[in-house]
Amino acid sequence: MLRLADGDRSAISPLVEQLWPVLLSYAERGLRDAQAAEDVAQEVLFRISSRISELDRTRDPLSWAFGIATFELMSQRKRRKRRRETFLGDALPSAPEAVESGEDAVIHAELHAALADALGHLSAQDVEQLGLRDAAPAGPATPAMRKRRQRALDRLRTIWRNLYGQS
Amino acid sequence: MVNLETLTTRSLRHYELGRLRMAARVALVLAPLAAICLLEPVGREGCACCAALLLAACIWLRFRSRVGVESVSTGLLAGGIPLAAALMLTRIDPGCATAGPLSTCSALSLLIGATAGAVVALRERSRAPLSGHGLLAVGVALLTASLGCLRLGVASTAGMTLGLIIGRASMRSATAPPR
Repeated sequence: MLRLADGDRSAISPLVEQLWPVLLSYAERGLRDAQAAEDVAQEVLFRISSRISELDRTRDPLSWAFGIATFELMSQRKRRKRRRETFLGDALPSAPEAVESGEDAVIHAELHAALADALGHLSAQDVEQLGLRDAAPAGPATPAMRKRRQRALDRLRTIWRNLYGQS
Repeated sequence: MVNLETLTTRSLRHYELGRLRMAARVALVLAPLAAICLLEPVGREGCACCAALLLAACIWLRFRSRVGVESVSTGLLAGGIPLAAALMLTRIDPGCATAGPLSTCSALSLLIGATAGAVVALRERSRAPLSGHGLLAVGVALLTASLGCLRLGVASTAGMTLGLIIGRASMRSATAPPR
């Protein structure tokens, strides 16, 4: 590395031969993904080659190289964290319920039934106010409408408490 | 699987580009120096020519090797002394441009050149393992000094060159370890 920093171009070949396996294994250990590790190791090697002319001779060259590698690995990890998109293909669920366990599905069904029962005790006007019908009120909500919705919600809570004893 | 040969070729390309980028950074120092010299009313053509030559030489030397990088640093440092002195002399005594070889201006140039030569010798001593460093540094120092000295005339430029060579030689012999 010092020879290359001094301008000896013939030192690049032995450097690549010796440094490449070390960088690759370091990247593989850091990323646990062979394909991504190879890309990162290449990027690190090119960055080292590009900046080696600025190498401070008082520092240890290998530590300097590993400093660059560590920085690149951390950047790659951050990028992957930010872009966590996994293609699920045919296994893509159509609704959140599809990924539920059997126990969750039973709980959900029971809750739906209980809610339907409680809504049955509400007046048709209240159900409409809660937006549970297709014919939802058009336009922005006025203070009077918000108040009516609040009252309908209070009545639903009271019915729920009377039926199931909890809010 | 990556082919090591391709990797080496691409690494070399990155290395050369990085080296060129590092070498070209000397322009940040040279551009203001050249601008100061070009602002002077006389001798602009010579100054522009010297500046272009100096820039090309510095970039090439820095691109080539570390010896070149060190030589350019030493040369610019040493050459800065006669350059500043020449710019001052132009202001103080405009007659220097037409002065003969045995004038005060030439004597001053010789003295300033000797100081720059001594700086080169001192820096060269601290970088002993770099072969050819001193001569390259003298070349760069001469070009740097010429930015200011050319407008002072042939006698002053020659005096400065002579001073640079004598100063370096004297300092080298004075600081050489005893045999």
